[in-house]
Amino acid sequence: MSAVELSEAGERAVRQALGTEHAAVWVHGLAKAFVTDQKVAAELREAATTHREHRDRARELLRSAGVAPPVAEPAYRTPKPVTDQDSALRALLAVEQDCSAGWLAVLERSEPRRLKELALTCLTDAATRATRWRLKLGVRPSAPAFPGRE
Amino acid sequence: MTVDFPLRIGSTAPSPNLNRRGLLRLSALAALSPAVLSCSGPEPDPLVKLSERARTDTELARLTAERHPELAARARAVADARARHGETLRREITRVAGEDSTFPSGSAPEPEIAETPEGAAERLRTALREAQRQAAETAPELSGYRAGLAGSVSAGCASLVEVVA
Repeated sequence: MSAVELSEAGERAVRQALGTEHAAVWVHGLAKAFVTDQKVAAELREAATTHREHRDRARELLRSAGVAPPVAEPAYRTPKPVTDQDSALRALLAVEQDCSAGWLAVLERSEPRRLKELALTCLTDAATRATRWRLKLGVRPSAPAFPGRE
Repeated sequence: MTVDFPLRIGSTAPSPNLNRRGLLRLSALAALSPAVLSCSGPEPDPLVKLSERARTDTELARLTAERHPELAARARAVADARARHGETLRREITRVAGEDSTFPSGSAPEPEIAETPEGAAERLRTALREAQRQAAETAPELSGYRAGLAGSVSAGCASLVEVVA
């Protein structure tokens, strides 16, 4: 990837978004142990792959801007303890919301087109997946009008 | 205010050099000018087409909910979200353009709703995918809050497709 110019605010936003992707990868690892439904398990695997991809792209991006990407924490605290499939889905929903907010901030604070397109892709993936988890959990509204903001 | 004295009178009288051919050329230009002017107007706000689509989608979803009770809850969720997209987009368009910003006021022809719930749901999903694509193309052209607004509308439409699925 060729060099990318990042403003100070843009860099901060990408670092933050990378932080949420690190947390997402960790939570997907945790959730795997609690998901019993085969269909949910398949969706979870697909989601984990997507988050690893987004994490790697955010990392590469920071490196190509000459910034050392922050590393993952050893563990993360979920909003509520994860003890079964339902609480695992709630933790998954929480990280998708965090990722949506993180990537929306990148979209608002970056100028390079390539970065804006990456941010939009990650925002859309996270928002769509959050809606799927809400539908499974029966959370209404399942699709907030403005993902990343609400 | 200072005025040259004496005031010159008659300086607008036609110049004797303005012959018949010259007058013809001038009047030809005059006939062209309105067309020229209308071409050089300011670029339309790229958010306007997003707000128009939000408006037609709101109407489509509202009518779908009325026609097909089995789709009502899902279609109403789409109508609510798309109505909020429209409102927020129009607020931003007005903020930038000032009070004189205009929105098409004529109501669009009422959308046709498919006879079957499957057909109606498919129509709604197609409209949402189209809206997602349109906003996704617009977002990278903008910056700051407006880029985020278009991007969030796009991601919101992608999520609504899941609801109708």
